[in-house]
Amino acid sequence: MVHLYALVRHPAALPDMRGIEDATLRTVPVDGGVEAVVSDTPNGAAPTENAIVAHARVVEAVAETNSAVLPARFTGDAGSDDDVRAGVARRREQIGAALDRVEGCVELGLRVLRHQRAADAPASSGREYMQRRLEQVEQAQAVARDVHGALAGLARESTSQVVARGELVLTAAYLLPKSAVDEFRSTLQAAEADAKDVTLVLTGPWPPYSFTLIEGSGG
Amino acid sequence: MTSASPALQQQVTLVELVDRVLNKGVSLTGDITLSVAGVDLVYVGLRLLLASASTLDRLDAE
Repeated sequence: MVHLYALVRHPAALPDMRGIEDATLRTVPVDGGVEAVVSDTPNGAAPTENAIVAHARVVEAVAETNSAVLPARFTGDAGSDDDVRAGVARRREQIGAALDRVEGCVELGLRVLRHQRAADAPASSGREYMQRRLEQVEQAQAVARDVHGALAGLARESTSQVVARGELVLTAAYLLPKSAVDEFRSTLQAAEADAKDVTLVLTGPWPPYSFTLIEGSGG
Repeated sequence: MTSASPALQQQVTLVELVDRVLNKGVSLTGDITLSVAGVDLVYVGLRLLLASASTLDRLDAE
């Protein structure tokens, strides 16, 4: 069986490195100008921290050597070479369109974390406490939406999710040309100045994991 | 606003990396989610990381 790292266009340029468990990287050519970057994993690959980081390193290197890359999800076992060929063939049109979309692009990730306000006067009741907490979460979400709106305008595509999980209020990902990363960072810095009571954490540039087969913009 | 400290940045980066590798990206085998025992461990790790990231956040604010 094989482990799948990424899909790229033919001819693939393999980076000079090894894969999970020091296995040799190779490609499985598929009809229609797509190649799959794989390595052999006789026993399947368990998602240990080492294996996850090794997978991510290969994907990142493949993204350096190929202008369009679709990172693969770590599924542990992609089957045989024939299974990979058949899997690509079934999604041939989607994969072709996705490769066009991510050509020359990187992904940036944003997490917006809400500050805990420990200095507030103690609430007189549990109900008041919950009410206050809800208001704080909603305020932080509104700030996060504004920040996301400003950033999404610069991206080719974006996806976002408003959440209320601990301090986390929004996660988002942005697909943008490599040349636009500096402008994107400047816009984030400007947005930070107006974003009260939240911490903005920008990560990346990543290979475009979040924009592999999504149709249209998630907002 | 608060700029993220390098330690917070690093922890969020690891969380984001694991999230991308396990939950995003192309899967040729459909929408199979990993049901291997190790993954639960990974997610437990993630929750710990998020918890410690928020602790750092509070420390930064003080």
